Amino acid sequence: MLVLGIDTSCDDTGVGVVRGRQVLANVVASQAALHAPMGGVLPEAASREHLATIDGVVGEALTRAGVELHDLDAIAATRGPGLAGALLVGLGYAKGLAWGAASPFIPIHHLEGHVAACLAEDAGRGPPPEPPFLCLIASGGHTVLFDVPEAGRYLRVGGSRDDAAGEAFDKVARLLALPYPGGPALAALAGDGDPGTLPLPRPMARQHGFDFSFSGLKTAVAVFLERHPDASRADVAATFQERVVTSLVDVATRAARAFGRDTLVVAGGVAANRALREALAAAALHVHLPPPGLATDNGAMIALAAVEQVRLRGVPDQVEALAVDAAPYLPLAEGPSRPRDAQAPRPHDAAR
Amino acid sequence: MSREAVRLPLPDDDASAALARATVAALPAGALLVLTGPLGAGKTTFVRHLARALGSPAEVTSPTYALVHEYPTPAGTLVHVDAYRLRGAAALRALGLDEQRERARLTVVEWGEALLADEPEAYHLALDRAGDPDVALHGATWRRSPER
Repeated sequence: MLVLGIDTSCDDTGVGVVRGRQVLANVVASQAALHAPMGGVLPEAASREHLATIDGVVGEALTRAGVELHDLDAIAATRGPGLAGALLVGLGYAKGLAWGAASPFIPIHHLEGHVAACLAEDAGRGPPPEPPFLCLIASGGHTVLFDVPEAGRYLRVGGSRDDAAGEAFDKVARLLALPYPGGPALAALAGDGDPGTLPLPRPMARQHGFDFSFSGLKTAVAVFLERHPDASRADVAATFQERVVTSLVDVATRAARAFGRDTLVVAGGVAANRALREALAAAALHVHLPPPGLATDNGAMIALAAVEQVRLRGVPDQVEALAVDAAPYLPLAEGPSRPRDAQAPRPHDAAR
Repeated sequence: MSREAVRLPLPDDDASAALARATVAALPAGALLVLTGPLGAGKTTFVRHLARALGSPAEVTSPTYALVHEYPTPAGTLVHVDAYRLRGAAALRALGLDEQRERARLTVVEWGEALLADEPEAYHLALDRAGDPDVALHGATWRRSPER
């Protein structure tokens, strides 16, 4: 099944083409250069940029995949969550393309796309993860933990109570006067530092649940830098990164134990962080990470999610699919979840 | 009304909750509240207290990436905007802020300094970290009382 996927949920225009679980092309036009001079995003500029770019990015993806528009079996796009104006561009374009090419249209949840990124076939990697598994999505806009008892079913286990992990990276990077976007720059600086020296707090260290909180850590970094203006920035970066990574890995490991899962799927932009990858490799879990290039927002993951959706539920009704609106707020999960098996250790036991 | 700034110490969560309740009681429907203050001053946490004061148990999280979150409350919609990644009042307007405001009980904008110049009716609460940062002592200052 040959599918083209479009993601315009935030700042990047992503278009990918997949055949089954094989990624044929994955083109991402980043707006980082557009927004960097102002250190932020102009929503209208972002929408306009998506609009100006999308034609070219779709053409480039089709060329790289070596396929024609009429070869496609389906066209998919992110319907939410994300920036309303940005979502509308990708969704509207995909609907138009599907209508014109008489190809089925498949609307996709952005987070389901992140999970599907781990299903991509990649030379040298083992077989893709099969549910049941636990899934951690950590990016600039999301930090959330799902239990996936069966394919296509998501139960929310926990998530950030304030800032997303990637957002905390970006904000602490700004405190350290690193250039936008700050996450990768902070990770690079952390490589030169010692994570074991500074008295920064460990977020949510004593909780019994499976939530995250990175806002207090960010405040602690701000206060520490005010009091110690001459502190080694590399040590601050390294300590901050260690606290975030440890929190993510500890909570995910504890949740996996509480829910009786031995496999952890990690998705989202933060999955590209090397310190996180190293900590996960040391965890007592089968860990699946997306292949390089599929961790951050992209179109191929949306196409992969569409393939998975058709495999599970068939091709959606075209009239209904074309009527789907952009949904800036769109929960993926069915709701808060508890360990399902009464015999499974309860969360507070798992914490001990 | 006085235009003088009054600084209120916020030593703990209860004090922030009390300020949020007083804020909600004082601000009319459709009000625009601009929250300023450095990273880690407690802006998002204060919005969570505002949601509670409006009767919503919502888990208010940072809208930095999403730019806007909306929370239905028994008293009406709470609109939570974050201009951290935005530049200037025009970018905020492009989010449809005016339209959102009209139908909302309360619209709160973090990092909304840019709005203050051309929104004379905006309420402005400046949050800061002060005192002993180890005990996270925060404070709030009403920078300007709207003249009505």
